[in-house]
Amino acid sequence: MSSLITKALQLLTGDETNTDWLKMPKKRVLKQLTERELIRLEAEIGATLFGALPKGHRREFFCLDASTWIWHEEWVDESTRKLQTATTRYEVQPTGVLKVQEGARYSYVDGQELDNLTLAIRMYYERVTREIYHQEPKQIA
Amino acid sequence: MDTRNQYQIPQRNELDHDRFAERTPRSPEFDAINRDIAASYEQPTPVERTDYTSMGRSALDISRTQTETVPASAETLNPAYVIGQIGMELTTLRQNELASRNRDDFGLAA
Repeated sequence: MSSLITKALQLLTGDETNTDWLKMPKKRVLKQLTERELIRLEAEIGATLFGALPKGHRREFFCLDASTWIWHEEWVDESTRKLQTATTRYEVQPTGVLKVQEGARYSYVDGQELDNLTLAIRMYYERVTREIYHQEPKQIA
Repeated sequence: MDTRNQYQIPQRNELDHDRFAERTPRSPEFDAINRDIAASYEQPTPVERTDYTSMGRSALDISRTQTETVPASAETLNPAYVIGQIGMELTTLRQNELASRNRDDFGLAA
């Protein structure tokens, strides 16, 4: 009977002797993502913006920093069975967007290519803002 | 009364501009400053626009475009500006996210 009363009192007043819940767990799992991991998440969205990928291809498209965008694609060459890669860096400058490709190829993006790139980047911004950062994108220009 | 010549514009030689200029010599520095001020005024950006008013006329008219001088903001028309703004927004979002997760880990989140 006394144990029943004690239990009822504990339910009403709480158990002051048990303070385990106040202690920090020793093996706390940090859910912190690094900047690199955030960029990887963004790149997964970026990869879907340019249509279907050919079989065996892997693509990444992401914003590296405020003025640099990266397009990276990998695939295995059917004839040589070797991994092929193509990386394009887009540098945003006041005068335009400079496309830098392997082999020291430089050119400013213009015409339809610039329109397509701008549209893809707008879509990237809207999807990344909503799906990763859970915010509403701002109206830009 | 004959009023035909009442509103005639005076001829240049009737004005005193040239003689005034002769009387007040300006320094080269003054001229340079004036040139700088004149150059600093933003020139309107010519924008090519399709002449929609010509639709329904001849094919030649439909294909015709005219160039208007519209004082448009160069920034809003420049895709590089738009891409740059988006890049800055994304960088800010990323940094804010990293900062908020750090606050969570140290139990500082609201």
